[in-house]
Amino acid sequence: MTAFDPNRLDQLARRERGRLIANLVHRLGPHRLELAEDMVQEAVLAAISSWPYSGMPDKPAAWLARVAQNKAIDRLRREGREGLFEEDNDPREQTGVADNISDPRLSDPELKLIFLCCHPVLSEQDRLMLTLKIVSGFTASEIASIFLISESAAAQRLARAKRKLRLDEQQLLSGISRFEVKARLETVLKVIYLMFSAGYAPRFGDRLILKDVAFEALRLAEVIVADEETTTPEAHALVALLAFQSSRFNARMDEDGKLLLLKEQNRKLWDHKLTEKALCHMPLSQNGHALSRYHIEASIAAVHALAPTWKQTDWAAICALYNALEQVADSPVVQISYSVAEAFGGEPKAGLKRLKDIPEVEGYTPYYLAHAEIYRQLNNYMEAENMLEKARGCDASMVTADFLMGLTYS
Amino acid sequence: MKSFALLLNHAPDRYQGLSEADYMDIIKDYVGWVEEMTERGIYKGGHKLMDEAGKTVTRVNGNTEVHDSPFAELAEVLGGLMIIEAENYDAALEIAKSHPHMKHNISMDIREIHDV
Repeated sequence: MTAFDPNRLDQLARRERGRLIANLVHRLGPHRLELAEDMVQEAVLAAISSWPYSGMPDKPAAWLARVAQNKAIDRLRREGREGLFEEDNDPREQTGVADNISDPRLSDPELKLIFLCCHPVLSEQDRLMLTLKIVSGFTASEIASIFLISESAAAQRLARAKRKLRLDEQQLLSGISRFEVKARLETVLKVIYLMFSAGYAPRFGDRLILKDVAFEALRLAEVIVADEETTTPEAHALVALLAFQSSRFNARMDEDGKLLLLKEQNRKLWDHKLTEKALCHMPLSQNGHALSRYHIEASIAAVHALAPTWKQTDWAAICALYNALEQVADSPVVQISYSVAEAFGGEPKAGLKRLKDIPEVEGYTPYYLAHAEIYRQLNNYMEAENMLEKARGCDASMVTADFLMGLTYS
Repeated sequence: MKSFALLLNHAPDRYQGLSEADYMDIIKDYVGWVEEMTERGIYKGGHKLMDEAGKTVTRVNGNTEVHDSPFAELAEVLGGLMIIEAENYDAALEIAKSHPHMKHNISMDIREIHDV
């Protein structure tokens, strides 16, 4: 007997929502995003209303897809628009653009949905929230808990973002051209990177949801590289980076939920399957000329992942990589990590100078922790304790999406 | 083996205003019970009734009249029915008591199905 796993329902509802919406949007056209979303929600409601009596169907995902599709057909029929829901009525054919060589537009429904949610008319945070909601199936209340805002604020923001998308209806209808795919890919990768940061950053929140968010980001990055229309060396670098970071997920906390620094982590708990996955994507990330921040951050993560012990970490290599990173994507956060790497590499004075050169990042715990660590190494215990005190005074709940924008890992 | 019908009652507004997570938790209990009882060969099927008010057909002075059911005024309404198999009434009652419905709602009726 297979025991009933209650989480199966949650996971199913979450995982399937995005895929169901993607398939419906694929057939209805991107301007009907909200209809697709509504019908999928109705299918989920129908499931939770009838499954308690019928039991879960053998193929729950197929059940949900069938019900969502039937509901969409019913709705359009009532509106006298059933013609819009023909198998062969692909919106891209209405554009009159000849596509005799090969179709220049995205064909995978899920990819199309990701690119739709990362539309340039939206702000970065709106793209992230919309992707979480529509592609990844997180509820408004889960999204609220991810961004530490109220549920009604999250719902309002999502509604506003969808309204903005609708304004661009004509453009939505024509689909995304190959040129736009290229141009928008960078935005999509950034959203995935931010999604991962939101789930991975140590902070308050429902830990299970945050972990789901981080792993969902990794999954989306893999969706991007799996399709030849969207894969790039940069995207492979992002997969490698996220897989390296994810491999440490279970080692980051002790049994009481206290955060463990890299130095304190039991490296045996690192997930070697994920490390291997990351290592497979590293060579694929080198098939081009571009050197992105993802390449460099993945390389830094690789140095950590390949060090058998904390003591054997190759700090010279890490410092060289931070030196490259500050040229590609400099930020106070990069400088803070760089300074700590210098200190661990035996140059605490250089690290301290680096910290002194950036303006105080008020309220940011790592800023003070970096000072404390470096002062400790310089045997200045009074300053070290002083800085620890400031770190303790930081409000961990102020880690919001805006704040995560520049976050990097070390 | 005898068959029994479980008639599950609930207050009309029982599930209103619940967060999706709370609602999901209730659903999980129900689905879990149904799956377990199906594995054990006890659960034979069931139907959820629509939550909206139904119709009542009555014969008044020889005429058939149709009314909306007086839903809102009722403390509890029939929400769904399930069929189980059990040795006898006592065994069926024990199964009924284990039903998550008795944790999340107040009452159910249990009737033996007349098999001839």
